Amino acid sequence: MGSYLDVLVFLLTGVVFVFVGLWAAYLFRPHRPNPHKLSTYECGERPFGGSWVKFRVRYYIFALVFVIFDVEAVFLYPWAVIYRELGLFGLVEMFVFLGVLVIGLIYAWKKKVLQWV
Amino acid sequence: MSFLDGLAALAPTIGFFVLAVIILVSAWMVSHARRITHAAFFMVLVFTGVAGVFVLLGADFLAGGQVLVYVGAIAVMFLFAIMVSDLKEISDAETRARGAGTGSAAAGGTGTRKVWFVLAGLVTVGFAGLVLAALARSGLPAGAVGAAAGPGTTAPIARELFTTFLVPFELASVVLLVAMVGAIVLVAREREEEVE
Repeated sequence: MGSYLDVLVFLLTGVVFVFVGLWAAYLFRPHRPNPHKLSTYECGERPFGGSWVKFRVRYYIFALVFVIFDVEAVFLYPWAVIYRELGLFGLVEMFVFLGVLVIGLIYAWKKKVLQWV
Repeated sequence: MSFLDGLAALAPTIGFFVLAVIILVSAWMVSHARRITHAAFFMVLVFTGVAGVFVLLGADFLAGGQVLVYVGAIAVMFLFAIMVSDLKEISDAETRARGAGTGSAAAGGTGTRKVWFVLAGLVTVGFAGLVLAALARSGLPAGAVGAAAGPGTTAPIARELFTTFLVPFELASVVLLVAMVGAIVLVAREREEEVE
């Protein structure tokens, strides 16, 4: 249980850090707003429209492909833990697993969905 | 036994109840947040809380997987889904209508809404009964929470997964492939429409 205490301390420190940072900035900063300062910073351009815009569906493919390779990573971790026990057999079975997923990656490549237009 | 020892012994129980409150409040917020993005972030909090419960149960690999897949990937997928959709906010009118509807149903209500309430109640009671029956049969040892923090569960799970359950493991890759191809087909179609 002890090592999880470290995780808890880390989590709490992360949360506290954010709030203390914002609170300290609030304490020390001068507060003299004007319309130009309050406008949204858009790389020096004059901001236009709302920030709630609809993104194109093609962004979604990156999220989906990320989910799939994330699940793959979850399988890779226990495999790596007992890799020495499994030996050559383990190597082959993982490469079969990865091979099937690489087919999907090649398909995406051929369909040119990974290209940015 | 000193005060600190007592506190250390109680820590898993305290942790469980803290997590339970976080999970329940976040879950309630998921269904009641006005902005859909806020709902998604509260869902992330629910996932994180469940990972904490896994830690308390001594299921460390499951906790890691929960954080990696649910807090990481699934949350990103939900946020991207919100990004590409038109839906931003559950409108005030809708929220108010829903609140009013719940009130009238509680006060006696009419028609289909009442039927749904009864159905939901029956399902809840049935599920709770099922869980309790399963608990009674399995004979969960007292103090199981936090007791299983042994040498770690990853290696035993891996041994089973890569020997006994080899075929399901390899089939999982096929399932993932199908999901990926499906997503690619959808995006490729949208791309063709753009070109036209």
